[in-house]
Amino acid sequence: MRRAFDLAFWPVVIVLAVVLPPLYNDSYVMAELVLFGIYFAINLMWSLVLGTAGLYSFATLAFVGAAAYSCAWLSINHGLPWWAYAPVGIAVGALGGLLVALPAVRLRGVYFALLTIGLVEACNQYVTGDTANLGGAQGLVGADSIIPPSKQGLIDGYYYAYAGIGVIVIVALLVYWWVSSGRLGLQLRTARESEPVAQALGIDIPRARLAVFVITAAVLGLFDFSTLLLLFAMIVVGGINSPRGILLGTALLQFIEQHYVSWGAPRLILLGVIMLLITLFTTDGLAGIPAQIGRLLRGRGTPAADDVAAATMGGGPP
Amino acid sequence: MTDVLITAIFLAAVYSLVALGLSLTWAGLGFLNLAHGVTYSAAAVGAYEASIHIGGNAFVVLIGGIVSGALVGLVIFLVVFMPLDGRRNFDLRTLIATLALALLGENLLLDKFGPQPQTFPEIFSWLPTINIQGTNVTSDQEGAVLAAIVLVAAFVAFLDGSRIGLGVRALTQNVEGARLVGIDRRTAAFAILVTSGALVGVAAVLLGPVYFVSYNNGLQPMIKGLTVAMLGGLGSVRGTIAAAVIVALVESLTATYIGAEDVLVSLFVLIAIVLLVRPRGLAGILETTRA
Repeated sequence: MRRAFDLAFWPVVIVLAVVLPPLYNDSYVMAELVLFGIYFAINLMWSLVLGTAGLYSFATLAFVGAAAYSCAWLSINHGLPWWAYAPVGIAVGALGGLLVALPAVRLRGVYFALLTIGLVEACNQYVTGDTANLGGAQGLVGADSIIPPSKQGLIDGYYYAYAGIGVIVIVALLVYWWVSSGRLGLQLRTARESEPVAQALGIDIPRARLAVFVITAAVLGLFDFSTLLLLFAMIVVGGINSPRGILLGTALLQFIEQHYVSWGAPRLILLGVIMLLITLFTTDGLAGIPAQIGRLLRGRGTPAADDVAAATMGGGPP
Repeated sequence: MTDVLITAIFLAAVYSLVALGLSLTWAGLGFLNLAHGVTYSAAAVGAYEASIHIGGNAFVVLIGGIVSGALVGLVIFLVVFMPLDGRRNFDLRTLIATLALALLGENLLLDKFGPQPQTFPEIFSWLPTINIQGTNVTSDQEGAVLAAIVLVAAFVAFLDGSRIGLGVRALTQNVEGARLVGIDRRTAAFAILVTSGALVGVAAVLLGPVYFVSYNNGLQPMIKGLTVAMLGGLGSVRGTIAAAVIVALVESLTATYIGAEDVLVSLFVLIAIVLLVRPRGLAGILETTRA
């Protein structure tokens, strides 16, 4: 039963992704699906840093923002076409990742979280303060887009955007599996569980962590503290260690966030409560619940092999 | 130049109030309290409501801020610390749970208080303004510095003199050792979380005239507080106060000579450089603390 579910999961997702748009053929649904793709791709890359590497980094969104702003600025001021966004975004993201990671990978646990939260807010404040070049709180408008000008705002236009984000999601999934099941993933997990062991095995921890930073930042290539919290909640609710959990968490929370907009603030209170309950009662988010129930039934409280980002964070009770 | 220094002293006084709680929560209890910002906002709203419904004098408003801050601290103790203490992945799960509280609390405040920022009552207007070399020190700044000095001194006295304070200090030095000599982690956690809520509540009242009162204005002070706590070396009281002075000086210099939007950028650069040289901040230069 579980095996069948495991095997069927991704094919079903792919079929849904292809079938849903023409079925609804509605611009609201398309806009939601595109947004979902963006969130999902970001969350996938972020969970590589948070989960696989066990680094409490909040800088991921700053890389997304830096790449997006660079591309938009170049497009408006120097006529950069949309198809050149990918290489430029990748370059900016990788460079940003490198710059942040160089000082940060030497730090442990909480210092990492502190430094990167500060970075995100600094970027946010810088961008909203710079109305002359970056449009301030309004953002940049008028950058070239994958949607041809004639199709702007039409349902056809959304299909272009959907195809574009589809490609990005597939790339993100491939990178996720490449990093997480490859040599780098193994090194990162070892360093996460025990730094001394990893060192004894000859793993260059800063180098491995630097690599995951640069790779994830390069793939990503709208941010304020609320968006950050929302995306973080998506990852946490779904389960930090599996792409499936991230997909579920992203879908569920985006649904609540967007579908109940008319509720105003109470829907976000609901999200906060869900996030809190999931944190207090599950070990690996929604995706980990079947395994957790299985362990409970068998009466064993043993931790899963690949548990929620384990204790890299320094300090705390040993 | 005098005005830069006066602003710096004012900010340093407030930032040390924000940072001390964060620093002790990390060092003594091993978790990062990211609901500190929402505690600030809730305390500002509480103090504002107290000034409307009870009275606008300094005493009432300060007590309003202290009580509401301490209450949020109590909520953090009950909802985050108690259920998760001793469980697996304590540090990550408390981080997530406090973020969840931040999301929840911010929107609760938005729902109840509304999106409109409100002006905070002037509570120190009875103090005389003084003039230092041609620069006026506002009564708000004077009151804030005085109140902060009194409270930080009281807090240090509590840490140094009381039995609970002794337990807290023992926990920041060595968790296992503290347990061996029979220090109750829960009592210490209660004391730390409630007092750090109360301290950030005072900071909210003192910064009120500068930042206004709004449902989400706690983020900036929290980030400054985190910067100070990190620079000071987590768990070190003297380091935190020294770091608050440095951060406040960098902030007021940047705001005056470069631009207000570059404050966080310059603080970030400062932190990155300091941590590259000294990954544990200033602690250890001034006193010995837990690594």
